[in-house]
Amino acid sequence: MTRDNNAAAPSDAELVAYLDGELSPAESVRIGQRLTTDAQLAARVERLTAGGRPFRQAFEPLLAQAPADRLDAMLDAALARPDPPLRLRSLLVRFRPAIAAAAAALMVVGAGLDRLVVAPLGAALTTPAGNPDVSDDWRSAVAQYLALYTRDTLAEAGDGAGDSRQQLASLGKRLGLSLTPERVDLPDLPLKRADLYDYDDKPLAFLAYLDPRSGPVALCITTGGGSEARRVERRGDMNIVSWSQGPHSFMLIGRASSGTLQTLATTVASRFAQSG
Amino acid sequence: MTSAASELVRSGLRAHLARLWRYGLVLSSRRDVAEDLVQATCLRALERADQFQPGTQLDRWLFSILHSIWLNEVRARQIRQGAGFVDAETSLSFDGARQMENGLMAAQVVREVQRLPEAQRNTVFLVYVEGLSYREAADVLGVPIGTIMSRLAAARDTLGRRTGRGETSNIEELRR
Repeated sequence: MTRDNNAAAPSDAELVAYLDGELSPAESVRIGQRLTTDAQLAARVERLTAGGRPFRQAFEPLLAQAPADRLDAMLDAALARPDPPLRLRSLLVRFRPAIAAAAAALMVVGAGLDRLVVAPLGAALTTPAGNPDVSDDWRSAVAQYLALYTRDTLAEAGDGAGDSRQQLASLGKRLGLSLTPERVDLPDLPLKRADLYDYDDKPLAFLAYLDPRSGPVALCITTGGGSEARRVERRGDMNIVSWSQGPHSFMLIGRASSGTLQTLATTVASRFAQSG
Repeated sequence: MTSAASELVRSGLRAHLARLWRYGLVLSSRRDVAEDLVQATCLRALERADQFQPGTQLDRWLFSILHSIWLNEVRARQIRQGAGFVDAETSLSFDGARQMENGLMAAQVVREVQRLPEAQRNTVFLVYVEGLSYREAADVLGVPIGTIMSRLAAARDTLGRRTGRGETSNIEELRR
């Protein structure tokens, strides 16, 4: 063996890749040729070859030992579970690159929800770049999420009663806020869903109403206060009215007119004026 | 409107349960932990079904979820609780009816693999048992391909030296 040979000697890692057929044809040929002249290299290859085993056959019987019945039952239960809370934050991140990609992502996410029908996305839904305002983020995330809702999304849900009402109590507990029907029932807008979401590790209550005229309207409440001043804005085809009261932030959002939402906001704000 | 990705995950999971359980067993050496790992993997996969890329292989995606749950959530707890890693010999036993010669030799190979350091065992399992390419194994484990190669080399070096000392005299018979 020459010194030159040593300098270019392949590593054990490369030799294993050679044995496993994971090298490029050119590299394979190079090592194959070298094996015919390099006895030390041939010995190393021999040892690595001896380190092979009939792995696949040896582990085959373990498959039959899997507790198939229990695993099947577990999967049945998992498939029957209601949809887990969406993580609005990650939803938002996925939306940013491009509206086209966002629309695709929306459809993917949407199908996990109850027969959710994707609404056309307004191009204006993109978040203004470089805005570090966290409260802006949550309004933006909710606006994008609500854009998924159409009249049909909510039409099939029963009015207020049942699950939504029961869920209000537990939602309120998470927020540290009493969510009674007296507080969250809105005039002429039947409550259709009440869901808990996770936004930036904070609970976010998402109450969805169906306005017979304009379609879905949402009242969102999250913890963490902010500016108490009422803010009125428009994102895409959505109007938003947001404000803070004590340790909570509120938002009313929908395709209803800004005036309608502001009237509702005044009603809601007065109901939550007494703390607790 | 249906989501292709979500539907693929929901309908495809069942076919992979036994293989996921086996991977969990190889990682944890414990049947109960393996079962928990499969359950956590299924829940996580359903939660993130929208992230699955249609056109890629579901089993690879599931392996990477199981591995990440093992690495980040289960492994440390198992060690902390002092449950340790039970001897592969008692854990990965083969039932009596299968104690034929082939079964014994298969058990011997399993035992050898289970005695390898975890990173090597994990890689050997994915590449040589599950048949993943180096690239696929690197993706599942979140390491560079070079790491896959060096782990396999270290494992085969160890096993090769054992063969050299005649500790696995029956292996050749199993190969036939």
